[in-house]
Amino acid sequence: MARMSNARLLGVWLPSTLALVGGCYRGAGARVEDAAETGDTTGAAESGGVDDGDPLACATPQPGRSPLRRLSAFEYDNTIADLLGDDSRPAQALPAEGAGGFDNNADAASAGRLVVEGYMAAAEAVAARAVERLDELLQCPTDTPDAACVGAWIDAFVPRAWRRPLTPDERADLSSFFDDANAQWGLEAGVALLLQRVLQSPHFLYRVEFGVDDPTTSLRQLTDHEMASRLSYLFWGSMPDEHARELADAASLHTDAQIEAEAQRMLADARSRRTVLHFHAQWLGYARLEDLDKDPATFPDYTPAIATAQRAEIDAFIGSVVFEGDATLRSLLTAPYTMIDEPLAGYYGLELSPGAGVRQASGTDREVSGLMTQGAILAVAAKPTETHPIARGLFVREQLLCQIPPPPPPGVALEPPPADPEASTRERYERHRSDPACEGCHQLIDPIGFGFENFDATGRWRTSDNGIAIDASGALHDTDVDGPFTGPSELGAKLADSDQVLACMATQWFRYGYGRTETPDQDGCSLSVLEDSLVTSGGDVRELLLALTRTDAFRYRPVDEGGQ
Amino acid sequence: MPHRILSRRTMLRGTAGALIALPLLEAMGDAGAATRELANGRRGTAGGDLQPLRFLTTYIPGGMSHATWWPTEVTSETQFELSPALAPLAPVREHMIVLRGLNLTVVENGDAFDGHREGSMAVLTGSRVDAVQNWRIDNDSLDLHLAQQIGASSAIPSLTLGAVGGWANHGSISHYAAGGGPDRIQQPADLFTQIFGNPDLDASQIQALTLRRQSVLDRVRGDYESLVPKISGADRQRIDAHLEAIRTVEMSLVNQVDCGEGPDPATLAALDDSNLNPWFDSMKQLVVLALQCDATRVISLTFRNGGGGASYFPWLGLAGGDAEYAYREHHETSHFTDDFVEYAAGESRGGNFARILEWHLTKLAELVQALAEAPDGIDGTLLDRMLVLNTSEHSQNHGKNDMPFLLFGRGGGAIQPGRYLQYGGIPHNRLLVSVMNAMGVAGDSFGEPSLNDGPLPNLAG
Repeated sequence: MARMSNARLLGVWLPSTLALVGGCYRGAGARVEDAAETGDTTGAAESGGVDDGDPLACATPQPGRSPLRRLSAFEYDNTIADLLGDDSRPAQALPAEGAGGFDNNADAASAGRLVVEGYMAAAEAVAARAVERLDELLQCPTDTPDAACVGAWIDAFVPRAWRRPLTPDERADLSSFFDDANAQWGLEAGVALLLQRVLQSPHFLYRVEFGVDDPTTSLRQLTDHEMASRLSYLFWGSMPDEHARELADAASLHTDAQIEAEAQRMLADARSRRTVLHFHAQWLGYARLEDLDKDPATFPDYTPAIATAQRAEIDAFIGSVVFEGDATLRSLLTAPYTMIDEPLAGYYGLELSPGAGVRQASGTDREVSGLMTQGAILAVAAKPTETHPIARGLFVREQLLCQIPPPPPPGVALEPPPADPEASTRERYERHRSDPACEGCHQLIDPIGFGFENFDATGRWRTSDNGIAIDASGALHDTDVDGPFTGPSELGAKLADSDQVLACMATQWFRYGYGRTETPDQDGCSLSVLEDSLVTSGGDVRELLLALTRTDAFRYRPVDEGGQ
Repeated sequence: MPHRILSRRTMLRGTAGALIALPLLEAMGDAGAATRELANGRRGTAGGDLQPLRFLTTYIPGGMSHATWWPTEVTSETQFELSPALAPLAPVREHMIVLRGLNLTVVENGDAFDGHREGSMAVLTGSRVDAVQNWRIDNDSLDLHLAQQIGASSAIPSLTLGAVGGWANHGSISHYAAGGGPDRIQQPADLFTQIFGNPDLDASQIQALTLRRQSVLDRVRGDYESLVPKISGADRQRIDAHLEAIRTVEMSLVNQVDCGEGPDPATLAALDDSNLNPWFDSMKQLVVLALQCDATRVISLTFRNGGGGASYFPWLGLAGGDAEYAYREHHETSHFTDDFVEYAAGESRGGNFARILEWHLTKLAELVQALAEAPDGIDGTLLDRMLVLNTSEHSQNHGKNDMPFLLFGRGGGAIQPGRYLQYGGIPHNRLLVSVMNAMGVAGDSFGEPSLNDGPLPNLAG
C-alpha cells in the first residue's frame, strides 16, 4: 500500500494517543479540559490531525525535553565492564527499576536511600576487586606504586569514568582526597576509596550535560564529549570507547558528517546487538518470561529450561533479522523461520536442520511468522493455565499499534469467563464480551487475540481446545489495516503493511533512545525524522537507529534544563 | 528521653557515630563540620519526657467484599458486632476504629489504568494520578511526608517494607512526587542490618568501614551539592532527591542508634512464599524493636502487590476446584464477587478470597497486639503514641467508594479508638489530614487541594 506522508502519519496517530475509538468507553467524565492542558491529543484523530511533521514548521530545531538521565542497571553494568574489565554486573543487586516504561526512563524513579546504599555497595565491591590487581590498574613504571603514579592514573582514569576531561579544580580535589586517604589508610585503600568516590559521583551515575551555546538558535548544542556519550549509550548502552573519546578530545564529534560516521561505526560494532535485544525485551514485554508461573499440572513439559530456551529463541531471532537479515519490520513480523535449539524444537514439534546449538527452523505443521509466533511472547501474554485472548489482543493493540485502550469502567465485575468443559476458550470469551458495557472496547482487543488460539499458554501449537477445533479467525478494527485475518501469519502480514505499526515502532525507539516519553507538541519534528527513515528504507530498523542520531532531540538540548 | 542502654555491641557496630567519627570529621574541615551539624540537628528529639509519635501504615492488596466487611447490629459508635471479615480483629477491637464512607474520590473519575495502580498511587498521597505520563503524582505519600517532619529526628527517617521488594505502582503505597518510591525491604535480615548493623563484621572491621564510608560519602555529597546550582527544574529535583538520600545514608552512619543487641540474626526467617507466617513474625518483631528504640518513627509495610499476578497461599490449604490459578490465586479469586455472600459454604473462589483476607487481617491483628503490648516510656505502650493505618487499593472490584480503612492506636490522645465511624461518602483526603495532624504535623490539606476540607470530624471522640 502507498505510504502516507509524514504529516499524515503524525496527524492521525500521534503516538501516546489514548485510543478513543469506536465508542470505546474511556471512563466517566474524562477530563477533556485537562487533556488539552497536558497536550493529550486524544481528539486529534477526529479533528484531522496536527501538523508537526510539516517540513516548514521543522526549520527551527525543536529538541523537546532533555531530562537528566541516570544510568540504568544495564548501562551501569556495561560501563563497569568497559571501564574496569569487571564483568560481575554489580547493578543487578540494585533495587529493580520502577514501572515507568523502559528501564532508562529518566522521568520514572529518582534515587532513594536503598539505591544510594546499593551504589555504595556496588562501588565498594568493584573497587575491592580492582585493587586486588593494583599493579595492573595503575600501570606504574616503578616496582612500587607511589603517589605520583596514582596521580598519573587519576589523569587517565577519571576522565574515562566521567566521560569528559576534568576541570583543574576537580583534579586538585581528587588528588587531595587521595592524599588524605593515603596518609590515613595507605595507598591501596586510598586508591579504593578514590574509585568508590568516582563511581558514586553524579558525573559517573548521571549523564550530566550542559552543552554549549548554539550560534544560530536559542538552544544548546552538545559538547563533543557529551555527544560521544549520547552515541555510545544509544548504540551500546555503555561508555564511549577509545575511538569516540579521541574524537571528542580532538573536538571532532559535532558536525553532521562526524556524528554520522561515528553512529555508523558504533552500529556496526557487535556491542549494538545487546542494546537492540535489551530494547525488544522491554518493548515486547518478554523480559519477564522466566518469572512466569505456568501451572505444572496443565503444562508438565513446560520446564524452566524451556522458558530459558524461549528467551534464547527470541533473542536469536531478533538478532538474526536485525543484524544478519534485512532488518525490516516486515521481516520481524513475518519471517518464516525461528531460531531454536534441540530441546525447544522437540517441545514445539518443529524440525531442525542438522547442527548444534540454536539454529534456524521453519514451520511445517506449526505456523511460523516472526514475532507473531514467538513462544516467549505467546507465553507471557497468557494465563498460567490457559490462553488469554485479551492479553494477546492488548499486546498487538498497545505494543505494536501504540494505542492504549482505557481500563474497564469502575465497579464492573471483571470476572473472567467461567470454566466450561464444553466450550473452547474462544467461545467462553465471545460469550463474555457480549455484555454491552464491555463490547465497545473489547471488540478492539479480543478479535485480534483470537487469531493466536492455535498457540497454547506456553507457545506450543495446538489444533483443538477442549476437544473443539481451533478457530483462529480474527479481525482488526479501527486501524489502518482493518479487516479479517486467520492466524498469526495473516495478522503479521497485515501489521507489516500498517503505517500505524511503523510509526509505533519509531515511537518506541524514541522513548528508549531518549529515555523519555514524547511530548506531542514538542517532538513532532524529531518523530517525523524517525518515521521518514522507516518510510524511505522500507521499515529498516538499522536505518531507524541511525536516524535517532539525526533528530533535534539528539542534536540539541533546551536551555532551561541543564545550563545555568 | 527514655533510658537507653548503649550496649557494647552497638558501640562496636560503628553506629555510635560521635565517638568514632569525630577525629575524622575534624580532619576533613568544613565539610566535616557540616556533617556534624546535621548530626546534632537530628538528635534534637521530641522534647520533655514524652515519647515520640510514630506512624505505621499497612497495605493488604485486593480490597474486600462489602457484603462481609461492615459491622452489623450497629446501635452506636461503640455498640456493634464485628462482621465475619473483621472477626480476626476481635482481640484488638478496643484499639481499632472501623472507618466507613471514605472514598478515593481523587481517582474515581480521572485517568485510570487497571483499577489497582491508581488506587495504590492515590491511597496515601491523596493526589491525582497521571496514569498516562509515568504515574506522576503531585506530592509525596503521607508516610514520606511524615518522615521529613517527625522522622527527621530519628536515625532512619522512614522504613519501607514489603513481602515483595522494589517499588511498584500496584502494590507500593509509598511514593515520591518526583517519581517512583522507596524500594521495599523484603528480608528480615536486611531490616536487621538497617536497625542493628551488619552482623557479619567484627568491631574493628565495622569501625574501619564506617570511617571510610564517611570519608567517601562526605565528598560524594559535596560533588552533588556543587552540581545543584548548575541545574534547574526537574533535573534539580532529581539531584536534590539523590542528595537527600546520601544525607540519609550518612546520618545512618553518624547517628547514634542504640537499639541494644537485637535478636539473634539466626532466628530471623527469610522470606519464603510458600509460607509467609515466619516471615511476618520476624518482620513484626523487628518493627516493634525499631519503633521501641526510636531507630525510626515512620514505617510502611505492604504484603504482596495488588492486581493480577501469582500470589498463592499454600499454607492456608485452600480447597475448591483443581485449577490452582482460578481457585487459589489472590487477585483471581477477588473478582468472584457473587460467591462472597455464600463463602461460608466453602470451596468457592469467593470463599478462598475470604480465607486469604482473613489471614492478612489475622497478621495485622497480631502486629497491633504486639504494639499494644510493647512498653514505651514510663508506663505506656507503643500503641498509645502511635497510629496504624491499614489500607488497600480499592474496596471491591476496583471500586473506590467505602474504602476498607482501619485505624489503630491513640496517636498520643488525638484518636479515641474502639469505635465504628461512618462518614457517608467523602474524599479520603480528610483522613490523611487527620492522621497528619495526629502525628503533630499541622495543616488542613493533604493531596489534591480541591478535595480537601480539613480533618475528619469526631476522631478524638
